[in-house]
Amino acid sequence: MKRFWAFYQKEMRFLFRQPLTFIFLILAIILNNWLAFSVILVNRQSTLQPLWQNLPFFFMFLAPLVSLVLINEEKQNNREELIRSLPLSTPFILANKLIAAFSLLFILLLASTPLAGMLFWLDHPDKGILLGGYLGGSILLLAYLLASFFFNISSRYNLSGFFLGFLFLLGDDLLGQNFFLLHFPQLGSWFRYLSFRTHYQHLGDGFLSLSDVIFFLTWFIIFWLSTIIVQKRKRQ
Amino acid sequence: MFELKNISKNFGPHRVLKDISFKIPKGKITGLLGPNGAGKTTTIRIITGILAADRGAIFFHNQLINPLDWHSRFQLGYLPEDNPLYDFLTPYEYLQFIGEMRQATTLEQQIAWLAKKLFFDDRLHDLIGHLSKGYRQRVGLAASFLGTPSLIILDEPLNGLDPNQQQKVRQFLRQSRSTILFSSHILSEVQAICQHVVIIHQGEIITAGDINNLLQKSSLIIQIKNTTPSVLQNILAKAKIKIARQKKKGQIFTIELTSNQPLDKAQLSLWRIIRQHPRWQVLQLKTKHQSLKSIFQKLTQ
Repeated sequence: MKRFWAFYQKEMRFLFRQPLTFIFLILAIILNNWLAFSVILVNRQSTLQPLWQNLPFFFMFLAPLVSLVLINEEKQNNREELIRSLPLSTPFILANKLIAAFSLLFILLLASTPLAGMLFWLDHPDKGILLGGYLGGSILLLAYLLASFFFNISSRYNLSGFFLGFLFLLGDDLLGQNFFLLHFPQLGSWFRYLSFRTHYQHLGDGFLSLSDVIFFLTWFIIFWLSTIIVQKRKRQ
Repeated sequence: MFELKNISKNFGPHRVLKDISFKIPKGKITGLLGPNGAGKTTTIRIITGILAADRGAIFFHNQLINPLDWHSRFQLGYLPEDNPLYDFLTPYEYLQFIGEMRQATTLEQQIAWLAKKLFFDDRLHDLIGHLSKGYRQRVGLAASFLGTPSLIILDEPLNGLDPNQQQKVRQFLRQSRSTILFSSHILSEVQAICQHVVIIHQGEIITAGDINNLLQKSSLIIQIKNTTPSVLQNILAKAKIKIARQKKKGQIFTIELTSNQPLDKAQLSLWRIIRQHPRWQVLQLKTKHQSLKSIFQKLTQ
């Protein structure tokens, strides 16, 4: 655990020494909160639904970006040899980077808590739905990061990893959008099931079904194992 | 003792290492020498588990180890050639990080001792990004010793150090009594520090052994008048005496001889040969002691 903490601390310090981290994070927080805040004011409803609607768009851009930075950190600074010569397993390194990326982007979720506080101040929102939204946001973030890690590790060139990850997440999000599903009436239910957004929305609505749990768990396992296998193969 | 047996590595059609085998004796400093592209870095990368060998095995105390298995890397300390450090950490934080990764016990004491021995204790809490190259090199060197690994691999460890610092680091390395694989281009440094040497050229081990034995292999220079070079060459070849260099100027034939057997034996054989040819007139006979540099140049030319 001590080793894990030491590695995690190092990753976080690396992330927070990048000026771009602050720029992107602050911009995303302002934009995300402002978009949600304005809709809440217009609709006059004590719910964070507008926030949950926008969150996947922020994550589908930021998750591949943070993954790109963390995965290529050692490579770009010639520290890959040093890290590889240390007694660290591939899952240990990747898990640390994943948790560091998760911690950083979780700030985006945390930064929305003043909005939740405002709802409690103005009205009596459903606590279960609010908690479901935060749980769904966290799970969606983890799923997006795992997919982004896979594409970043699998790609030979840094930027292609970012773009592949982004396009995959965008494509997957489209699968769950009604305007897309209308064109495929026969396959609609399949496409809908394959989209992260569908299952995330269930959680955001305060529902947790076994089907959602199985879906997320399956994706987590597939992406995690594939990432480790690709990384190990690359090494050999 | 570490032992590499029949290690081979290909990069596509290019054979980088061709069945190389050598030993790294315990408690000694072994110099790994070779011209650029000889296969030194590939060898180091295979030992450190950064690259996988196509064939061959590595043994530690006669037990097979797999450097690709992360557990086996607890026994390794490594200073890469370009000494990559984390600029956003202080030397103390960096050493603590490396020590934690190697699960070093008494880490605080080790850091304090290494910082003092490698004289960077005054900058232990400054950011690495603000340190000079010499300081950075010593921090990297200290990191490779953390956790008292069984084998420490140092790739050009004296890079960026001024002569005084080099002297102190040399002294530190000698006193450490650790098992070290020392790769360097500065042959005088290798000669001064190492007790054992491995010379690699075009992916093959040319020579490996005790450095003193290697340096004792002097060469013999002889100038003979009225000889027939081809006859002399044949006789020497039969006596297994190798001609390193030869020159003919008029009637005078100058040859430089090397031998795998001690040179006094070679000299004796040579006298016997000369005595059988009364017409041959020996003008000069001298022994030339060689430096590691000249041995290296001869072997890798």
